[in-house]
Parts: sequence; C-alpha cells; structure tokens
Amino acid sequence: MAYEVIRTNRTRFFLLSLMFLTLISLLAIVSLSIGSSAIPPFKALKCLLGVECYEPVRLVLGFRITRTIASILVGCMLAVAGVLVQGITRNPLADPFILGISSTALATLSIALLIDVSILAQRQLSIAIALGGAFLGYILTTSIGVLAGGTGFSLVLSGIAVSALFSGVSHVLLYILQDRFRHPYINLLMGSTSGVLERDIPYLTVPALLSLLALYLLRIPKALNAYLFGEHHASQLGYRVKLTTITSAFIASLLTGASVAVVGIVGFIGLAGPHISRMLYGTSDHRVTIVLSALAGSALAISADIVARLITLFSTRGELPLGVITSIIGAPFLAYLVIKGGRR
Amino acid sequence: MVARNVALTLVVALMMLAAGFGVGTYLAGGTATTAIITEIKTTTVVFTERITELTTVVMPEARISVVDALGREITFDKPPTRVVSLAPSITEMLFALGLQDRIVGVTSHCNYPPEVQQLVSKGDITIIGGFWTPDLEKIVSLRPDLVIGSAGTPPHLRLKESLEQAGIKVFYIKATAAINKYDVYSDIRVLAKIFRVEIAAEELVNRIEVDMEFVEKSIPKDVKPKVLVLLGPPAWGLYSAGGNTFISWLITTAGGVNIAAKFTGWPMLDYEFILSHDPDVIIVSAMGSNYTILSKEIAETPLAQTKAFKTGRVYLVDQEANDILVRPGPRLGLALRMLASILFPDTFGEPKVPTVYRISEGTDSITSAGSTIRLSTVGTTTHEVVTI
Amino acid sequence: MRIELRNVSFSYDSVKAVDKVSLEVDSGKTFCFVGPNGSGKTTLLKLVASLIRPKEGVIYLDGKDLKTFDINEIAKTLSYSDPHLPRTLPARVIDFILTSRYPFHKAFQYFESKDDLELVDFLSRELKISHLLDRRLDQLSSGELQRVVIAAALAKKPKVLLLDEPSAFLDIRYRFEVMDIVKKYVAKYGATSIVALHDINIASLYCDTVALLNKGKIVACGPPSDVFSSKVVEEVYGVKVEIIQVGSYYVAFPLPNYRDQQHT
Repeated sequence: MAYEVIRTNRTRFFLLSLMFLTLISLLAIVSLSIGSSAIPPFKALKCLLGVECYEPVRLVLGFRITRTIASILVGCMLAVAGVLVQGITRNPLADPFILGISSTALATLSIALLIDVSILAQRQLSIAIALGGAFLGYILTTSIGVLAGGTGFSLVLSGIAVSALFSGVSHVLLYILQDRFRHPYINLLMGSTSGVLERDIPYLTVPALLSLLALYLLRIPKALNAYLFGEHHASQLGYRVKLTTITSAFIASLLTGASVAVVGIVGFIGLAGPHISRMLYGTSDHRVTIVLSALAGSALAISADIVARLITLFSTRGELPLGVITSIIGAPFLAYLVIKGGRR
Repeated sequence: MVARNVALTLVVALMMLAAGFGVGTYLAGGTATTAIITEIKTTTVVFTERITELTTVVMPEARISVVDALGREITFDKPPTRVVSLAPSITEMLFALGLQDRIVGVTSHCNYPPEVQQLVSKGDITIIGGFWTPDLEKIVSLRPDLVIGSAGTPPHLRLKESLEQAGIKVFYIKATAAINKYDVYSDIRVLAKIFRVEIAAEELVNRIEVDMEFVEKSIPKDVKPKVLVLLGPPAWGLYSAGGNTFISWLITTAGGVNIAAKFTGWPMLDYEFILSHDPDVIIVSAMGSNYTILSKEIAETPLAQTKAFKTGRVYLVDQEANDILVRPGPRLGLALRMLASILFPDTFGEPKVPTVYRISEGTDSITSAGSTIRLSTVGTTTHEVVTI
Repeated sequence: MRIELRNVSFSYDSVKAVDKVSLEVDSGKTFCFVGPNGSGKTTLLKLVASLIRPKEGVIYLDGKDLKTFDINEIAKTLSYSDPHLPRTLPARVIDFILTSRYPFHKAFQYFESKDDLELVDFLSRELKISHLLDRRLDQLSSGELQRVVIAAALAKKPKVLLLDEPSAFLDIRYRFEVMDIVKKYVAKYGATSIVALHDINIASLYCDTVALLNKGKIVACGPPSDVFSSKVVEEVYGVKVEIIQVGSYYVAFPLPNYRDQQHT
C-alpha cells in the first residue's frame, strides 16, 4: 500500500517535470523567435537550427539567447529561494524578498552612487556592489534573527525590520538622486532582462550552481521536510534547526541577491513558483517541490519576458519592466490565493 | 457561490491592476533629462555672438489675465516683482527677457546664465531646492508674488494647492513639457505678457528663429543620419527618448532620424532593437560619470557593434552641453547648432561648447582583445555666453 | 532502555520550570507525568528528549549521560511527539510518517528504502490508517491524526517513546485506543515510555508509575493507586479525588466541589 502511494507520487513528479521541461523548451523557442527587431520568427528559427543564417540575424539571435538564458536562470533562482523561505517560515505567503536583502542591495547601490557617480556607468561594478549589499542584508537579518531565537519566524520578523529600515534609507537617497538618476533606478526597482550582457550571466550561473551544491551536500530538502512538522519534530530527528534555517536563508539570499543584482527586482515568481508546484504535486515534499518550483519559475519568467518584448512590438510605450509584468499577472493570482485561503 | 467567487476575484484583480497602472503611470510620467552627445573637434570655424542689449519696455499698469499651461486663467493687476522660478529653463527665459532683477528664488539646477550664481552669492537670489525637489517652506519664506512652475514636472504640479493655500500665485508654463520650438515661443510670449515685456519677447523669438534658420538652411537634405539617444550610461538600462519628446523634435529638425521615434515617452530599449536599426550616431548622457570609464564600458557592450561606434561617432554629453540640449528655452538656437554639428560635422564644424566628447578608437590596429579608446576633447575654449 | 534523572533542574529565563527532579524508569514500563498546566510536564519530556539541556543535574540513558550522546544516536533511540503539529503547508500522511525514517538513512540516501516502506505498511495496518496514507494532514479528523502521530513515533522503532498529551482533543474511544497501542508496543519491544497526561483517569488505568508534579517539583511518585489516593493530589489539583474499583481496574476520579455544597 505504501509502496503504491510512493510510486504514484514518483510518477507524478516525473510527469510534471517532463511537462515543465517541454513547456520551457517551447517557450524558449518562442522567446528566440520574438524580439524588438521584428525579424520574422521563421528566419530566426532557421538561423537557430543552423539552416540559413545571415549575420544580422545571428547577431540578434545572440541577444535573444542571452535574454532567454537570463530569464530561465532568474526564474529558477527566485522560485527556489521562494521554496526555501516558505519552508523555513512554514508560510505559503512568504516570498524571497522577505529577508530584506533587496532593500539593502538598493541602499548600498544608492550610497555607492552618492560617493561616486561613475558607478552608474559600470555594470559589473554595480552588479558586484548590489550583490555585496544583498549579502550585508543577509548578515544583518540573520544576526538579529538568531538573537531572537533562530527560528524561521524570528528570521522573517528581523527581515521585515531590516527591509523597513533600508527601504527608508534607499528612498531617501532616491529622493536626493532622482533629479538625475530617475530612469536608471526604475530599471533596478522593476527589473528587466533587456540590459543583460553575456558577461553578466556568470553572476547568475555561479551562485545558482553553488546553491545547488550547497542544497544537496547539506541535505537541506530533507531537513526542511522534517522542519515542516515543527521545530521539535525536526530536532528529535537529529536536525539542527538553527543551522538549517540559517543555511537555507543564506542560500535563498544568495539566489535572490544575484537575481536582483543582474536583473533587478522581479516579484511574484518567488511566491507563485512554489505555490504552483505544491498545487500540482499535492504536497510540500521539498525534494520534489524545489525542482518543480525551479521549473515553474523558469516558465513564468520566460513568459513574462516574452510578453515584455511583445509589448515593444505592438505598442508605443516600449518595453515594460519584467517586474511590472509579473506584478500584473500576480495581482489576480494573489487575489485567488487570498480567497481560496480565506474560505478554508 | 461560484459566481460570487468569480466576481470577488475580478473585483480584487481589477483593483490591483488599477493600482498598478496608477503607480506605473506616475513613475513613468514626468520628464527626464535627455542628453545628446556631440563631438567637439578642434574649432575651425569660430562663431561668436554678442549679447545685444535688451531694452525692457514696461507698459502702464493695467489688469491683465493670462491663461497658463494648465488652462487656468490668472489675473495680474501689475507685473510681479518677486518671482520664484522652479525650473532651469524658466530661469533662462526670465534672464533672456531681461527680468533678472525681479527674480528672488531659483533651483539648485539653475546654472545659466553665470549671472545667476553671482546673484545667489550676493544674496539677491535664494536657492529654493532642487528642480525635482522644490522646498515649499523656502519658497513661502521669500514672500514671492509669483511662482512659475513647469507643467511637465509632477512635483511642481503638486505644489499648486499648497502655494495657493499660502496665498501665493502660481503660474505654469510648458517648460519641460515643450516638444517643439512653437511651445518654447509660446512660453516666452506668455511670460512676456505677464511682465509686460512683449517687445523684448518678440526680439528674443526673432533672434532664435534667425539663428535656427541659419542652421536649417545648411543642413544637407539628401542624407538623414540615424540617431540613438541614451538618457544615461547603458549599464543601468537603455532608456531613450520617444518621438513625442523635445529632443526627438530637435533631432528631426537638425536633419536626423530618431530610431526610437515610434515610441512615446521614455521607452526602455534593448540591444536587439538598437542593433537592428544600426544608428549612425549615438549620443549618451554621461550624467557626471568619468568619461574614460564610460567609454570603456560602452566599448564592452553590444553598442560597440553599431555603425556609430565603428565610425567613431559616439558622443558623450555632460553638464553644459547636456543642459543646452535638454532645456527647451532661449538657447534653442545653440542646441540646434550643436546637434547639427554632431550629425553633420563636415558641414558645420564644431560648436563652441565644452563638455561634449567623442569616443574614437585609437589609430592602432583593432584587435579583438580591446582597442584603445582615445578621447578627443575640445580644446580650452573660453566659456562664452552664446545667445543671438 | 533504563532512564534516570538525578536532581535535574531547568529554568526559562528566571522562572524555574523543573526543580531538582529525580526519578527512574525501567525498560518495558510506562511512566506518566501528571499535574496541572505549567507544572513542568512538557519541560521534563523535552529534557529527556534532549531538546533542551538541564541547568543542573544529569539524565542517564542506560547509565550513560545524555549529553554524551551524538545527536543522530538520540534521533534513532528516542521519539518525541509534539502535541502541536503545524499544518500550514500541505503534507501527506505518508510523507510525515516517513520523516521518522530519515535518521536511519545512509549518508547521501535521498529517497526511502524498501524496508522503510514495509515498516510503514506494517504500522498502518496495526493502527488502521492504511486508507489514510495519501491523504493530506489537514484533511484528517483529530482521531485519525492522533493515530498518524503515534505511527510516526513508532516508525522510528524507538527504545524510548516520549509522548506529550497524546490524547488531548480526542474522543473517549480514541483516548483509550492510543494508550492501548502504546502499552502494546512497550510490552512487545521492551521499550520505555514516558507520557505527560492531564487526564488522571487514563493515568490511573495505563501507567505503571505516576509522578505528580507541582510547580516543577515531584510531590508524589509511585503506582497510580498510591498517588491518587494521597492527600497531595487534592492539594495540587484543588479537587477531591476518589479511587474507584471497576472490575480489576482502579480508576481515579476527580469530584467537583458543588456536590459537597449540596450536601451541607
């Protein structure tokens, strides 16, 4: 009996993964066929398949590949960060930005800008500074959280406090800087893959790989499974709860920080990815939901990026930031979550 | 039951969407500084102009009413004598009309003409905050009898109620919302009407027109260079100016084509778009960053694959050059001339405005492992007030 | 497994929750803590489970100091059931029970082994929860949930079973059922069980030894019939307690005060 149940679950996992992988592949193909240069999709596909490739098309394809890869990675990373944060707080409404790191990243960048305007001109440096700011935020949140008990709950509370403080700081700085820097700031605040360069991609892949390694070497998925049922339940299973929450928070911060540094703040994916994977799979077994969330997140991110580029083609407003599109999709989704949750 | 849930979802979603769009519009609204980079080579043609004396003729006192850019009718019993300007272009217009002795307050961005700084140091004029961040208290403490603001700048519009509550008259001209020379002229004229200096206004408009015509008639008609304008360094986003902006109009008038003209407002572009349009000229607003660093950065982005970069026609504008191109005001003629010489260097030579830099590659052979970026800067030209 | 506490004390900040408690439990025995809320029952269970460390005193398992045990050894030996099971995120019964097998997995084993699944099958048949295995925890009734919790505790095949209020919130039928299962297991495998109860008639029916706690101190300890017939019980609970013989059982019953008032 138990064996059948497990086997059904495993089959479901496998099928869902397959479905998502197919979806992502299809979306990737669409993503590579669409762009602001209005090259006919057919031509782009022919170039992709190596059939017939003119130089301008190949050039454009290169950009699209960069954007698509960035979307896939960011979607993955934010969704996994979301699973981790929801796991350590046992709250399905937590999202990765709850740890306060996006506001510290922004604040750090603002201060750096005040000190040296030329940072505005240096992408790699800006990315590095934002990452550093995110890390600072993690240290701050974790220190306060550990002092407050080290549970997921205390981490979240301290994250909210850190977020509030540094949001204030960065908004004050924004106020001072906005005469000159309004537009660049919007990019950071609302997220976009349009400015991502090939050499920025390692800033995404390296943290992603490191996180993957850490997750599985430290056996976080099973630890979170145990923690799902209570702090004491996990402790009596031999898990060090504080260590688990701190490490999970670290990995989540690394993933989120890297995404914010390269692409800007993109909301909703960290919330929806885990939710979708739980809805489809049925339970919160982290061994499964981490993978499924990553896939769901990628699908969401690529879709949003495709929509962003379609808007360029069909309207005069130009591209909408990625974060704006995900919020617009997110609003009805969140409403649905709220209603469904309330009814129970 | 189901219907209720569906209805609830729709209502909540619509509310969120509305809120989202509201916020988005607010954030996207307002003007941003546009920057054009022009290259300045060593001067071969010297263009000097003298400031002609402006005679201000004041009409006898009579009550007039003038309609501002928001459509409000404002009455003036007599010309105001204590004026606060909320925008640099407004300050420039007031000075150009010879009204400087009536000004009591300007913004920290009002840096032209140089006389402004002198008057501030002397204490005759007070700084009332930034262009985007005017300080209500400072304004009120000056007891002005008129505050002139820009209809295209939301923080100025927000001051309307507070100022009126404090009993201070506020008048809006198009200023940053001006999208062509006619808007500028109407702004100048309406200001002149308030201060009863219509004759000076006509002289000013005339001079600008003459200067512009002089440029326009020399613009080659057969070739239209494609221009990309970037509002800031590419590192933080590729923001350009849409077809309904002032800078776009300037480009068109100067004989060029703005590749982002199909958009409105301040669109965010991507490299694919830029490269598929392959601009002949790129103008980047440096925003005060180090020019060598910025140049190196640009060389490492896909912008380096544009025709503009390959033929050495990427320009960085900063500070004064930036201001000239960004402020729709009395320096319109100079703006056009500067832009024309960027687009057609062979025809126009170089404008005598510093802080325009061109990125050109070194004379060494270009290797894939980085080519030298040599910045050719303008020689030490003395800063002269250039008006017609 | 023999458990011994010697002069164990613990405080939360400045409040002394457990005050110099000493006791011994032999293998195969069921030991119960009873006492009013806040008397230290849960704290003592957590101390034995090694979830918290005593401020004073030592706890011995089979003569060895609990502090010297490796955290994984403890995980395989003891089982502590938390009375409050968070159910905010959806989880299946089988996933919950299988978490108890994690301490027994090899270093990088990721999924459950066949043995784990057979054990779960066996336990679910015993506890009559086979049909509930793929239900979600929040879809269970409290009786079903209780049996699931016990199943998870037993899935460890623990030598020490620590239960905190296992029959709170349960119907009468299930209250007894849970304790029946515990006794059966303890007897069959020679395990030791320590249970915290607030229900004194269950305590009197199922426990080999009862320790009555008041404000962190043991005020009475021994077989239920002794403890519940002593005057101390009335002082601690503030009600009269009577021992009634029902067949071969002795059951303790608290008597409400108003009956006395009616008589006088």
